[in-house]
Amino acid sequence: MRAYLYRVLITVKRRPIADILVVVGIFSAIITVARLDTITVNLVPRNDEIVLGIMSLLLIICFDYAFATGFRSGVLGYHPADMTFQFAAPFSRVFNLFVSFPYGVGSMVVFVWLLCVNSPVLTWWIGFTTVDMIAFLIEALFIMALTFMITSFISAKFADKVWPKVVIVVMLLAFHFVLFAVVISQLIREYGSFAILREESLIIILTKAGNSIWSDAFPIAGWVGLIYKGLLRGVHSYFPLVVSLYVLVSVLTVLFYRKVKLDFYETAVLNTGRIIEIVEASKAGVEAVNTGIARTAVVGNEVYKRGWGASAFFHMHLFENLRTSKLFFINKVAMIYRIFALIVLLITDSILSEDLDVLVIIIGMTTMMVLNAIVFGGGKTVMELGRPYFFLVPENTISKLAMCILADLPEMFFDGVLCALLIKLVAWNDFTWLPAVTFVVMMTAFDLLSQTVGIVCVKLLRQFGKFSMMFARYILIIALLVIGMLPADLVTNGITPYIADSLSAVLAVMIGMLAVSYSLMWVLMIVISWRLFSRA
Amino acid sequence: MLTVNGVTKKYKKFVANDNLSFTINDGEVGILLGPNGAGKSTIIKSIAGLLKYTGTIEIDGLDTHSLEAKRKLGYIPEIPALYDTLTVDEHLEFIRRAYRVEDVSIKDKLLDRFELTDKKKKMGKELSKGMQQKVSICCALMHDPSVVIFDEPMVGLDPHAIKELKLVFQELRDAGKTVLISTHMIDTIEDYWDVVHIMMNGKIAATKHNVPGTSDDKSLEELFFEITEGKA
Repeated sequence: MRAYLYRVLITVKRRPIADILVVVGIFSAIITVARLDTITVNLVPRNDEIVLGIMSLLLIICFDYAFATGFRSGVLGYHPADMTFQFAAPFSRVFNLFVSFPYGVGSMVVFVWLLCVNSPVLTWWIGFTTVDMIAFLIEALFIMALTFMITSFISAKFADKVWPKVVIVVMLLAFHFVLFAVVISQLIREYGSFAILREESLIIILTKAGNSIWSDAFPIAGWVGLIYKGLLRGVHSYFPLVVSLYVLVSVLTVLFYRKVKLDFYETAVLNTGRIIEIVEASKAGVEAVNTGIARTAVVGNEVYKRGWGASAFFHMHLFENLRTSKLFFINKVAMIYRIFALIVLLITDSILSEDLDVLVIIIGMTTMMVLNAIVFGGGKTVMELGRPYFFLVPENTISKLAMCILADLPEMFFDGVLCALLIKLVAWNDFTWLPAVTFVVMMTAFDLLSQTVGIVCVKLLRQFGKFSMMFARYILIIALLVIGMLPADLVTNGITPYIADSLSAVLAVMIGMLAVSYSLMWVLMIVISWRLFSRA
Repeated sequence: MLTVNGVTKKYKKFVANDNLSFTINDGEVGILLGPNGAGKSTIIKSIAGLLKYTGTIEIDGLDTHSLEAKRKLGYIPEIPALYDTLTVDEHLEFIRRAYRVEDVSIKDKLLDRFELTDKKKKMGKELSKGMQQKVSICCALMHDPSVVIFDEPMVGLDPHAIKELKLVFQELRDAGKTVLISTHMIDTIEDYWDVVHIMMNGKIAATKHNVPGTSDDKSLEELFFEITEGKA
């Protein structure tokens, strides 16, 4: 323990910029939360039940985030040197599992920080006070700590087995689905029909869902949430019950850690091998922060035997993707951002009046694109540039580039479809199938553009370091996003008088024009990349 | 003493180590010799307790997964990996603390021996691969282990470091330690070995002892190429 602390303290000392950022982060969170009470304007008048309902749902989101983080971090948060200096050294397996925790804990701290600095939105929306937020943070801390410990344990216990983890995730998703279904059916019964329920304000529906017995029964998150509910409602019987349950689960978790044999080293060693590859790619000037680490690579009777010349790159990427997961087109990072986009959509929908649904669509669409600038700015093609084969294979540069990018297309297409469905869910009547299909095309074009900008930035800015390059890339993509909107705005304004009676048609034209703009910019970027790499 | 008994390691259906058994006694230098993909690194990682396997591996009679066994083991990985933000000196200090080594002076002795004294303030990420390998070796020897395993230790080292490392092998042997080295380079093991296990397709295809004063009918090189080129 002393040796580990010695190493950690030196690492902290050696990263002054990171330390300054942490201090600034903590300070900004404290200031934001402390000043919540100075916001006097609320969209919905403060009501304890509304605050408690929304808080309950937010706590469930915290639970889900900690669950997912623990599930991922158990065998991933290691430095390659840990294999020699931690695993082969006389440290127990449980201690070595804890060594990986800073990776996940850091992610959760950032998540909580995001909630803190965005808390004025909750104040402005439903009248969250500083005390509410402090109560929420304390409850979230207890929920996330215990959930993270449990899922990290599960992740380490079943490190090299896929099915137990799939079963647990499916069970959790099913639990959410059942919870959602039960709450909705209860509300339908209360209101008489779904149509009447739909007419009700979203805030009321969310409040009722958050305050339902089913949310209170939600493992860990629901129980802990009862403490503040009890305090505000003046029901003191919740407290001993919740504390007993929490202590019981904590004791069981400690017992599992102490008694169950953990054997996760091999999986960690395999994953760290992948990290070494990424580090090597980074040294070659390529950043790969958005590239997921393959947890499983099935090697059975598969034979890579397709592609010829430049198309060999396409088939090789596809082969690798399929080997990693049959559902490789589901980008896990994008899924997290989609949840955020859905929250933005729901909040916007609840704030704006019915006749401003088109604004909800535009805000949702822009949010998704801004987030995709992060998700698709990296990608497998960028990784390819860290290897010599892209430059050595005697084929036309543009063909090789196009073939690499093509292999990422299923992921972009799936993401576009998912985004379209989310918007459709919120703006059912106005976002008809015509704008939805156009939207999928536009999102795919934008994702392609983001990826190509990433490639150009790698080539031009690698000498300025990884973070400068990422920052420049993001700014450039956002700038292109805005530039692409100008012709779309002009054309839409020009033809709106002729098709004004059909909102669908207006939306389709606007989104279609965006698709054309981004496609043209993508072609331009491809030409720039071609010229850059031809000179390489 | 290092005892490997009936060790089988599979990656899905691929058998990397197939029922391997061998013993390296105290005061012996054992070599695992074989072409790339023969399963040398797999057994080395298994001995270091990093992989799952069937069979038993014991270090001085202790299961390799036990903390007591790990205290007796020194491991030098094939690819040296150091912490980016720790200096050379701090790596050794970390290991000294991790293994509870009281003697502080051993750090300087090792740094001096491997010509790292002038690099002691350099960060791990600032070192070349060869330098990183030297630091790995120093870290592995820091706690005076009774069994030391080297995975391709010569790769990336300069001639002087190779010469020094060979001296280390001999010193470890003279001090009664058990040394196991995996390598695919016959010319680097020369005359300091006591027993060589030639590995092929996850199995030990042949074992040869270096007994002074006797002359086998085949040299190590002849035996190796006979096995690896399929003439055996």
